[in-house]
Amino acid sequence: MLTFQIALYGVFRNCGVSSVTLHLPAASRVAQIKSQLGEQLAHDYPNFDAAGWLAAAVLANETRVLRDDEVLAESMHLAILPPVCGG
Amino acid sequence: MTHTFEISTMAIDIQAALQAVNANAHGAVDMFIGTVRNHNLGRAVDGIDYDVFDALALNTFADISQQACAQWGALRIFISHFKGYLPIGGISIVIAVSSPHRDEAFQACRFLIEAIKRNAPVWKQEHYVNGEREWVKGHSLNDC
Repeated sequence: MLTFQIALYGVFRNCGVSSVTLHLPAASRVAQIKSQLGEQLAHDYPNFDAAGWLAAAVLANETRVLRDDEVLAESMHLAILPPVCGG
Repeated sequence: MTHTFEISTMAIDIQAALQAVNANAHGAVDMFIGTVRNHNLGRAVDGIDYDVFDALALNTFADISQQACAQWGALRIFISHFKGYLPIGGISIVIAVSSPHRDEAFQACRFLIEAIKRNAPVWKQEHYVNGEREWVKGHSLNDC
């Protein structure tokens, strides 16, 4: 099993926590991680529209946004990024 | 070429931005300063909380600066984005670009602020005068 600690940013902070930890089988795809994140958020924070916000969100590491079809081979820190609006 | 990128929780120093892009061979400096306005989409705004994924934001600033230099040549670039709460009039971002001539500085500065709005991992939570708060709808990074 791999462990992913996922930092929450923007509207995901409405959940009231700064990160969520997930455990997935080795060689999981990014899309699977997003799907499990959605299930966990919906379970733990039923008043938060996790599915709605995840549809427009992406997973990223500290250097780049990850594609949904990428396979992650080791445990790591990630972040879930809703639509951005800097400046 | 030396560039300066930062995520700041302190007031952004405009004089430091000018100094950072100073170069003897450059005859033009263009600067963009973003500030918090008192209204958005018909609602009266009191202030804004800025949330930033620091590490990825700094990488994004480096990537888009590299793109700007590839397009407009020798530039010196300063980008500072604020993180935390700002009241009306507070400075949220400063971009300074210097180049040998003015046209490149103007174009690169415009390119950089538009790229930051589309790509940088930054979020705004508006505070309204009636006490409510709301995260601003932005651009999905799925589209990049």
